[in-house]
Amino acid sequence: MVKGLANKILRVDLSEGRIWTEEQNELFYRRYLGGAGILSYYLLKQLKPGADALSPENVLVFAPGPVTGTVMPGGSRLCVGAKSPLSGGMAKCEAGGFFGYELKRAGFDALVIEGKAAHPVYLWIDNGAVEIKDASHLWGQTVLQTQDAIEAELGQTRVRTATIGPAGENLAAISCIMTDLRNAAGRGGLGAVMGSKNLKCVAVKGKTAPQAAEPEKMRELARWMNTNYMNFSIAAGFHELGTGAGMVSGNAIGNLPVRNWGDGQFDDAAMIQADVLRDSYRVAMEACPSCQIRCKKVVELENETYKVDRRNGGPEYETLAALGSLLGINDLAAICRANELCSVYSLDTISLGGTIAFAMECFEKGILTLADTGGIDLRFGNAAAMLKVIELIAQRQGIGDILADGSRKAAERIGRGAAELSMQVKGIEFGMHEPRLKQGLGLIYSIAAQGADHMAGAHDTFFMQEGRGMEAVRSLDSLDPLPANDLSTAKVDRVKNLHLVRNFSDSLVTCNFVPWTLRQQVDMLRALTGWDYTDFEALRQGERVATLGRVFNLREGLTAADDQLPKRFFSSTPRGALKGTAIDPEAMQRAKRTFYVLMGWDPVTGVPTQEKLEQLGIAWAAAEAVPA
Amino acid sequence: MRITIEMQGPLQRYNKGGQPRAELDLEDGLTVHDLLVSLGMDMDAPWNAALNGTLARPSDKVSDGALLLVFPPIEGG
Repeated sequence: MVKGLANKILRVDLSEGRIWTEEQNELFYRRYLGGAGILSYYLLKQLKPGADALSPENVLVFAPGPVTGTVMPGGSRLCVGAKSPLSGGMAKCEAGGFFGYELKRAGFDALVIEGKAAHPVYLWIDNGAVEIKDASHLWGQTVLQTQDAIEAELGQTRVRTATIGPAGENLAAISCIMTDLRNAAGRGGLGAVMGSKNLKCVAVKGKTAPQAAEPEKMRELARWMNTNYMNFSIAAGFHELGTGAGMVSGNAIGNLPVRNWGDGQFDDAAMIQADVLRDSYRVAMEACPSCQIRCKKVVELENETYKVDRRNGGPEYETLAALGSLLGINDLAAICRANELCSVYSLDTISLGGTIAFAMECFEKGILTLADTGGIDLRFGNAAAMLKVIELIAQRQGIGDILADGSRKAAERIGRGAAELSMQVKGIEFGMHEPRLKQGLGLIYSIAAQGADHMAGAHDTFFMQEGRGMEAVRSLDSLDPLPANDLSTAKVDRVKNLHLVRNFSDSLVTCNFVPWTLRQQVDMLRALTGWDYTDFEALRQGERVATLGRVFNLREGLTAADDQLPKRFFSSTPRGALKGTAIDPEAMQRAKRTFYVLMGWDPVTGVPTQEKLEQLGIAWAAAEAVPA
Repeated sequence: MRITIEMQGPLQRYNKGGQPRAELDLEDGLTVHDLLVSLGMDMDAPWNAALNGTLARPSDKVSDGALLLVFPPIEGG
């Protein structure tokens, strides 16, 4: 038994209607921890190679981490993943709210779901008791309607949920899973995976707090953060405004994506910024359990055009950009409404925005016509068209049926040169941060197992000059400030190590918005488990997760050729801060090769070497990897 | 030289009068770093700056008529 953990994995086979638990030994937990580590392990072990992502064989994993469910600020999150219907590789993302917190407190370190129910069902986990319940009457309902219906029939309030809406039911590959109505396990098409299993919702109540080996040390760390977070300017900014305070500044340095990444300047950036939202439609800020940063916006509005229910949350930075500047839209009320539609239908705002931006550019270039769109004038800046298309995507009607599977597959169906306009890596649309500006992040966008995920690595602009940002990387033996567009070996080493740290954090699972250092995260794991855990192990663990993700993708048929940015990023924007700036393709290719070498992967194929797998204690995965 | 400086978010308190935007009269030849130090900014706090519309380095020289925007780095969300 490991202190601080539930020491139990919940397994569910929906085809058989079978529920069981399994126990893993202490070394398993020390090797994989939880979250992303457990996700990677179960995907490789349980999923038949080559299985269709939307077949019953896919394995859907909800994995809190050791820190989840504790008193730690940011200790409420979980990692969710499966084989992605968008990329064909690993889908991996993290979500906040109370769902992960209570899943852990219900007595489970992870929930691993396989099979497909004969009819729509939901899973009810009540403090360790687990039941598969009929959800036929809930199919077709929105996420919000489902929450209310489940609470009513269970006769309980504050039931924590992971739910899909119609987009997930309709197998839209850009659909997501919503936790507690307004948080998203957003990336990779996990909503469609859940829909393919006829699984409408996982509902949970959990009340058993993890028992730490050294509870006073845990409380001391939590107290320290709760006392000091306002001294960290970024956390203080999140407390005041949430994300999205930097639309104007992002525009000023070229970070803000504009019109499908094809423009470089959004003159209306100030109109969609978080301070304007605060002064207009924002009615509250709310927090995950145990967190005082409370970064989550709650919006409410009703005017002659739009009505938005506060229970559906509010737009984060990614959404403000993806459904704002990326589409050339400056109408904040429309963005709030679009965000609400994504919450109730369960759509990933990032891939949705990327896909609509693609369609808008196709329309403006004549690749799509009014006949294709069903009469919708799908030009950049048309907020009404955006809202209409979101409805069509969720229902898979008209042009929405083509767009529901993301821009890469849409481009394949459309043809006529549309593929050039699809801005994604491995089929996963980009997070809202410009790789021509942050070129180390561009490298991570290329290589990360989960595709173009802005959370997969740190952002170059944090480490350009002395200060706290540099302190964080000096502990990784990365000593000198480096320009954002640098792709030297020193930068690749930094980017690689920060990717490993992120994978470790995603295994704990901690929140990136709570400014924990690596050392503090190691300290909390030591206090929780009583292990003599070290920073060295943390980096190794992150490397193990990254390598397992790599092996999984290789096994499923992805290759080094999939580690590729779209052509657009190798030329300059026509205007704005990055006019005249592009990624040097040769420098990026060298950086990719260097990254592979530093990871112990083959420099050309990116296949992990046998020695690396053995070093990481995952030699069992060798059989899954394609030989170099 | 006379420049315009905008400081955003928690960094705003370091601007002249705590205002988001201010006009400053400064000696010629200051770098971005020196200018921010002269304002008493906590240089340990993560920051980025845009000088006349492009990402600035600390060593970049500020010249007369410049527009300097200073803000916390943008990452996730």
